[in-house]
Amino acid sequence: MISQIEKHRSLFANGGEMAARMQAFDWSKSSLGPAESWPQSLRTAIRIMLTSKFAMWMAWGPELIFFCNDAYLPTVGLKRDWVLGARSDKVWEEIWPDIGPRIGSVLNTGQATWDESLLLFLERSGFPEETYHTFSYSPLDDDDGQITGMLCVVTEITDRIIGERRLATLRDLGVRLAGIRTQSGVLAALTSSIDAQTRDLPFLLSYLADEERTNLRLASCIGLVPGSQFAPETIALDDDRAIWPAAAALGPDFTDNHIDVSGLSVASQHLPDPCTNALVVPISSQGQAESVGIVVAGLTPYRPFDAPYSGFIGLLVGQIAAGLASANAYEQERKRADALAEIDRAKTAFFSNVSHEFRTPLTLMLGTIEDLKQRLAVPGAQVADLDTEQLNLAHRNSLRLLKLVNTLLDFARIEAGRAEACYVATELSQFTVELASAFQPATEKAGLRLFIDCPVLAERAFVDRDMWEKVVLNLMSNAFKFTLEGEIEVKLRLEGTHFVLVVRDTGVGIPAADIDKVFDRFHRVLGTEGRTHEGSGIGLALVQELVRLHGGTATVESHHGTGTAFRITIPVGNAHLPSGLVVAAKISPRRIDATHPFVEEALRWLPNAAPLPESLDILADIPVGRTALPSNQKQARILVADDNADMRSYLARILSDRWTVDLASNGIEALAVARARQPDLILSDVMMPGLDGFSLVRTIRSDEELKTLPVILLSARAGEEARIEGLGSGADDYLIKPFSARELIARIDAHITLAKVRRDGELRQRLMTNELNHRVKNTLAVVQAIATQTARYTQEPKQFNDAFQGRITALARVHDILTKTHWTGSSLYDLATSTLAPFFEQNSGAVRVAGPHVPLEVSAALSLSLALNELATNATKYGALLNETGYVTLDWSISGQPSLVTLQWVEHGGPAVVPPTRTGFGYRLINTLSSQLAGSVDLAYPPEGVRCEIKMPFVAA
Amino acid sequence: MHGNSCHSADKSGHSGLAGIRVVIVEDDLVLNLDLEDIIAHLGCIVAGNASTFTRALELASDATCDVAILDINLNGERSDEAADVLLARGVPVVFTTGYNRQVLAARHRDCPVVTKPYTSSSLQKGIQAALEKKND
Repeated sequence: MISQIEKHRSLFANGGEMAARMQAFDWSKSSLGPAESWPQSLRTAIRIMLTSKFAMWMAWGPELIFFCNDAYLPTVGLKRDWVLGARSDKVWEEIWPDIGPRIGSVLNTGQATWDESLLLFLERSGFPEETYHTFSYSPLDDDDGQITGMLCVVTEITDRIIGERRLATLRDLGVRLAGIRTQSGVLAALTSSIDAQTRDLPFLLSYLADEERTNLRLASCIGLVPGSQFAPETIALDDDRAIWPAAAALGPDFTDNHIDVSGLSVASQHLPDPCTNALVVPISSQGQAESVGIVVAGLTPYRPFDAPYSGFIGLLVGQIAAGLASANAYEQERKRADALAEIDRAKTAFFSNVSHEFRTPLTLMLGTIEDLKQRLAVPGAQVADLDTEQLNLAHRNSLRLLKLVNTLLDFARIEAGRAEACYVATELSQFTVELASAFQPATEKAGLRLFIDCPVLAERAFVDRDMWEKVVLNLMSNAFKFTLEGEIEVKLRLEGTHFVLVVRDTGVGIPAADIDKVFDRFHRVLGTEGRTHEGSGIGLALVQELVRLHGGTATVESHHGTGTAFRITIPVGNAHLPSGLVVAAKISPRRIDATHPFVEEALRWLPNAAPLPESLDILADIPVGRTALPSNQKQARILVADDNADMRSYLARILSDRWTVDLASNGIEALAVARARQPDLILSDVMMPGLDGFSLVRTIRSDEELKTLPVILLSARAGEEARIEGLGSGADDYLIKPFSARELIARIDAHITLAKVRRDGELRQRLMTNELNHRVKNTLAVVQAIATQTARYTQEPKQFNDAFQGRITALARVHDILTKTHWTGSSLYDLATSTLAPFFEQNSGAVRVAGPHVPLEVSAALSLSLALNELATNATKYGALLNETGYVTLDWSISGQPSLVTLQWVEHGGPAVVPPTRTGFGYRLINTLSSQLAGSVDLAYPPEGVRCEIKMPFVAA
Repeated sequence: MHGNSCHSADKSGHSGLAGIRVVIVEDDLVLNLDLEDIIAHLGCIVAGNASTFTRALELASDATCDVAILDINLNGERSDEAADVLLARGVPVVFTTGYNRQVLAARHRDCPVVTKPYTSSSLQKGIQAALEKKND
């Protein structure tokens, strides 16, 4: 037999620290009595606990005396020296509200508990510490089988939970920062991430340095009130007494970053207790010379500040720094791009404005000059040679100016992205031959040899014809200008995936220093000998832009003194071009001849230049012919508003043959004239002092008397956008200077005709509105009558509702049918099936409609529809449609002389019919039909089913 | 009959039209019915009811009546001729229409017009106006 002492010893043997302490403990003074007297069950439990490596504690007896094993000691922490043998509710006083009820439940029910990751604030480290535990309480019986204690097996998982939580915060911030390109976006992402998880960071402030680095400004603030004592909006870097050591944090060797704020009561909005510590961390990312600001992170008072905690904050600030650095880089880049775009816009606007300034006077000059030339060309006109020559001189120079302006405009369009290319499959060699050979006469006269080597190619090229024309002509013109002797060669080949055009000359060549700039706009090679000093330096730049629009390249090779070769390549096919701009049509190229301004200009560079051709293709339609267009609007009155007196008289001259013309020199005057003598059309310049064209249109559109007046605007602002702006402003049409007189006249004519059509249309619309008004009022009267009548025959709102809705629905259905026929009538079949549709929706055999075609006029259709609705409603309530076996037949036939239509409504298979004791609206309505249809109605109630016979005259449609 | 019980002429004393014989011409079935009720409600007697042009003409020449209410548009035909017959017989006419009074034939410009949708009181005023005009 084992002695009590031995039992006592073996109970605590090999149990480690706690076993030793239990053995040494004087249990005789405890409520449990000496260990030797403990029941076997307690001994067994203690033995299991002490020898386990798993953290366990247990409570025993009425006082729930506390025992635990060595593995559990870290959980009690500072309490380790006194917990043994104490009451459990004293040991775990701070969490007793959480665990007390659980233990009670185990003792009362004998059922074990299970908790996973339960948050408990333990007072084991000198402060309430946030901890997480997974544990089970199981009951312990004494030797009699009574539950006398409980055993807790527990795992603390605080480190895992908090580690995962911090990682999740970092991951969340990383995701939010992805793709963020602004500083405010970075700060917003930070706020969202931290707001979602404030346990680790009860407050977080970020301060960013201003450009002068004299102040830090509060950029984001979580957990504190911005502007309050601990979150000032600004921290001056020279402020020694600042609440946060900003200056030190931005300086070198900042280590003293852990700030004790326990004396300051920093109350976070997210914590019940004040924060006791904060961490100040400079925001700097790798590769950055200096920190852009600081982060002040409030530390939770419920966790020790250990290496993982510090590491977490370090990583967080690192992410912020990287985010800010990337946003900053992006913003700098965007600012640069904006600045460049702004310069481009200014340039384009300048070109547009210049073109405006040039085009108006050009239109006037050319129009006048060509008019004069035509008059002088009349046989017998007395004119001195000198005058003709001077006129030609004026003409030539006007044309040259126009060509320059047009080129500038091409540029403006390309720059503004408004170049309207139209890529067409073109037989490029034929087209190029035609363009190049236009220079044949000029080269012949100059004694140059022109070789055109453009064999037919295997494939068509997708080019914009106008643009390709400009490319070839500019290159030819350039070659001709700088080749004083020798030859010019034009060569076109298909080389693999590209068309290659080479224009080679034996001219003066380009000095090596200039060769890189030859395609720069306005760059002119100085000091070279050419046929002329004329030139804007814009031709080759335009060539390059045009080739780029074709997805191609323009390059040059040149040797000073021996010649130059320009090489243009464009890709085969159209895959590289915007699909919307590729046109399938096969248009034959426009014929280029010596009348083209490029060629004309080239010829003029030769000594003894040939006289100018009579008409120039480019302006063929500018001269004002006096040919009278057929016009039936001689009496119409046109008001011309233009501030340029020459333009006014020019327009008056071309318009007065056809219309009566009033003139105004600005918008205000135009308005006064228009109000005094209402014109049929206003033709106005856009740019005028005082009231400009757009404002004039707006004023006219808001004037009751004038608002339908057609207005055509004239402008020199080229390009599609200006055109749209013109139409969006309320103008009816828009013409760009220079415009042809013929086109102007045609458009005026069209708008005057259109306005007349519009006036007629308005009249028709007024009539239609009146008719609509009448129909609506009639319908309202009917609806009102239905409502009154329905109300008279029903007692309850529900009854009223059903009956009223049924009748209105029937009315709506017949309106639908009549609308389809434009209120000319309906067929009886359509009417019957449509009206009765709601009654056989559920059961398609419930209503059977059959009969020959019978046209109905409008009023008969309306009446019959309502009558059928009453019959069917009645059948649903009392008759054949009440049960599932019943059905209704509606048949009709035409017979007799004169023809009569006989409709038969017969109900079958319903309950036995009891004739109504009183008559309702339906009964009256059906009986009134007879007079309305000029026929007869017979409504009968035999027991086997309601019958209704309607006879009416047959009227052929 | 339940229906007629509410149309009993118990308020006829207020309308001042008790016993007046009225011819109704209205092509719409429901309006026609409702018109009958309104007339009865005003204490008047329905002396004839037409919903077609032909029937209207018959009534215009035959009916013994004090006043006639004519819808101007009878299924696409104008009731002017019926009005002419009635006026020639010395029977005053009230027109009803969904249009405004501009649609009246020039010769009927003096006749009262009740525009649709009408009410019992607008009809009453129309009838009174017609009767007064006759007495002038």
